[in-house]
Amino acid sequence: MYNTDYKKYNVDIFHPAHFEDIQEESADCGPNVQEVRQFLESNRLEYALQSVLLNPPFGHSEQELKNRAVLLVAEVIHAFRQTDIEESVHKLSNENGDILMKYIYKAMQLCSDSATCLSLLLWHSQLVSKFGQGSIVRVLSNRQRL
Amino acid sequence: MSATLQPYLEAVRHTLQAALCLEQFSSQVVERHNKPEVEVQTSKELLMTPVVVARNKQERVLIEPSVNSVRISIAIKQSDEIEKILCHKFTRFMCQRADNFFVLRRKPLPGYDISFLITASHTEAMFKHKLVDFLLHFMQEIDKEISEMKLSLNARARVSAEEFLKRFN
Repeated sequence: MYNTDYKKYNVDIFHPAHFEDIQEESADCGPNVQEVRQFLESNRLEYALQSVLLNPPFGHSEQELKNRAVLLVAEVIHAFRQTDIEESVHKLSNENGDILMKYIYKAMQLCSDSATCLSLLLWHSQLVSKFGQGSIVRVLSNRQRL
Repeated sequence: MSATLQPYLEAVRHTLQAALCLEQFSSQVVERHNKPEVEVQTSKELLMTPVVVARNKQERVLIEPSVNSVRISIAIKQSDEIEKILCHKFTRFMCQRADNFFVLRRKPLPGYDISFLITASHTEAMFKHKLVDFLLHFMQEIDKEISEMKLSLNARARVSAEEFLKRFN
């Protein structure tokens, strides 16, 4: 006999209206704020950048926490001088480049004063020249959003 | 002025180039239909992360990519009431003639002044890099256009006021 198991499938659960985005809850809950602040105050910006890119809260359910992380990143990269940006971007690893790109796009959504936006745009152009458009595509297509 | 304009336009250009990777995609809901997924939003897995490129509080671009279409919404700088009126009139004039512009959307997104919708068919019929060039050219020109209109409006107001007040001399 033919296998008729397929008749027992509940096809209604595959209806697009019932689609639920499966979000893995990430354990990372943002960078260590105190550590970053210490580095910022002692003007060790390289360390502050390394530290702020740790444990990115991508896909975290709490929007408030993600916004705070984004604003902290914006503050750190705004502290860099324009001439130091290129050198710092060249020291970033591929993963950190993607993380920073994600932060930059989100920061442009949240911050609106022109000085911060200018430094974000300068970092953006340096990141694109180092990592190419692939890093932007990964921001667009990644589902673990900020 | 132009020191911040250049990185802004570059960022928009790179983001658009990355976002304009489109393919034909038939609707999952209606048979033999092909709709821009960013507009109908029938399923979440076809939409990509929307991104904003901002220059300051007023000037920003929202880029919403999806599998077969990209929606680009532009907020134009409006520093005073006259510029607001001029910008509104100008974008409205364009939107009413949206059919002649192919990629223009008839209605802007709330919070933005003008929206474009580029579908996979547009990228097949037109050169992708030319489309990107067009959008950037548009962003540069509209600022110029509005400031020029504001100047000529002020000049015209001055002349007509002078003519009017001559009678009372």
